[in-house]
Amino acid sequence: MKRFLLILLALFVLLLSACEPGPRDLHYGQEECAHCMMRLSDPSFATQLVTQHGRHYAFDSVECLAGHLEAGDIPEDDVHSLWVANFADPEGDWLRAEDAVYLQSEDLMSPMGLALTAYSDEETLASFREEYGGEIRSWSEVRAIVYDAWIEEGQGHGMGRH
Amino acid sequence: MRTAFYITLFASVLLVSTAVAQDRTTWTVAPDGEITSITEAISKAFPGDRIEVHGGTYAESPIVVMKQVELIGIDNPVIDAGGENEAITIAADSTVFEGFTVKNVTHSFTRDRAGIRVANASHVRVANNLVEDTFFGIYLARSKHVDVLDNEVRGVPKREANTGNGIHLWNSDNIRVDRNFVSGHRDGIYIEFAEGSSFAENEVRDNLRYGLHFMFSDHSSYERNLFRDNGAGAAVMYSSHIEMRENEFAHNWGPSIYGLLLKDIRDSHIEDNVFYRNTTGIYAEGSSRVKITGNTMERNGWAVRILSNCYDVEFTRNNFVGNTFDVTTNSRRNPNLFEGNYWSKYDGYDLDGDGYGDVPHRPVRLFALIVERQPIAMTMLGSLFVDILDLAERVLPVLTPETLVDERPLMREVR
Repeated sequence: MKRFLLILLALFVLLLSACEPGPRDLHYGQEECAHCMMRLSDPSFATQLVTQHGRHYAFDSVECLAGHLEAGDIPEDDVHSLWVANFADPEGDWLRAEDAVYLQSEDLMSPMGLALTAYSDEETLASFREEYGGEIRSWSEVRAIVYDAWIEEGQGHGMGRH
Repeated sequence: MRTAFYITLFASVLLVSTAVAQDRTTWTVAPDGEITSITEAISKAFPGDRIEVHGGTYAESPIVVMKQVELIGIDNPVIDAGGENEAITIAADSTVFEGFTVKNVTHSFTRDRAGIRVANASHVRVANNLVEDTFFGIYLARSKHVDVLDNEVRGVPKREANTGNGIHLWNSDNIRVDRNFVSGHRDGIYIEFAEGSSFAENEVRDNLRYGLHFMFSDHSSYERNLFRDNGAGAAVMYSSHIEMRENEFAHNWGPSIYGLLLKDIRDSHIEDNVFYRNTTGIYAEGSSRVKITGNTMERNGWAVRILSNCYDVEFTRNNFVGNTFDVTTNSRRNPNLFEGNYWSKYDGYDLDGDGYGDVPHRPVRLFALIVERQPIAMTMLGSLFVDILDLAERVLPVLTPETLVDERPLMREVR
């Protein structure tokens, strides 16, 4: 009997963990970015936000995810988790935005002009940096960059012009 | 005496200039000729030379042009990029690339591989080429004064996720893109950080995302283009001073699909365009000081959806004919102007005969607002209940925007 209860408990825990909200598959070519309205088209740059209530917001780029948060469109304590696509393996697993490392390189232009790409670890990033150059950024640096470019100056300022 | 001097001067100038022209060598490349490779001809040529490439298939990509030459295709030579490479990169000023077929460049997640790339060059001319089955078609980066004329860019429509843009401009100024045909790509024509450019008489159809897509590009114009059956006709975003004239936006149909999508646009003109049978003719968000005049909006689901974060957008002398909804918005506030338009739904009268209706017209139907909040309500469209609702609201507006009124509705269509 005790054993049965234990199994039941284990199953219940398993069920609960299955309910844990996480990233979902995005419908490229059909969904719009929740921030810039562009239709999602390139999995390499996609990002998403899951709220405490399990609601999903899809974005076409790292900068739109950061921009949405910086603009205060979704309160920070409402956020359950933030996810970014792995540029080195866009069809693989989603990465947590806070754990990912970022490259800002003009030779890897992202959909909203700030040239940000995300990677699972520094080693992978380094191999891309060798080829494309650019600066290594953390998630908090990414947010600061987007804040400076979009909130301070008004959206519409990318890094393309020199 | 003086005349004689000028004649001598003129003659000597003529002599010198013909001598210079004669200096220019023409090289011939042909599969069975003395020179069989385009790359070889380029390496032998001197700046300013002309290279005539005759019919046949050349599998030697990537061809890189580092000196000023005229590459002219005769009898349709084909450059087969073989998949992993770009076909040709032009990196020299005043180069001409004309009369070729370029094909076979495959998708890459990390590289924007293109059929024809122009990089760090000015006064280049890319004309009369067929670009077929390439990831990106014609790609301009950090270039100036480039003419892209009369090309045909045909993608093989796959998933949106692995198709590039037909004609792609990045960080380039004073570009002219005229009379091209673009289909089967992600965006037909994509423009990012490209100032002072113009796009005229292109036919852009069957692209998966947008026909034309402006991002962060000011002081540009597009005129007399046809945008048909794209994910959206044109998306003009985060730009100012854009002139949009005499274009046709037709059959851009489906959920979240627009004829023209405006996002954060300032100080621009939209004149004399035709919007025919789009799900939404014009969608505007976060835009201001845009003058919209002389356009015909016919048989669209929504002719105009304008959000209340737009201001000083002026609609004058447009025709609204047979749309399911003429205008809808998301708030009772309306900081925009509608005046002197023709509305086929207007049922007022003109007793003083001045051409303007004597009673104002309210183009926002109550039902449009209900659908805005509850899309499922659309199933009620055309029912008697809805008609009564709309009529009651028009007589005594309580929910529709108070100031969204055309005080001087035209009695006749604008021609």
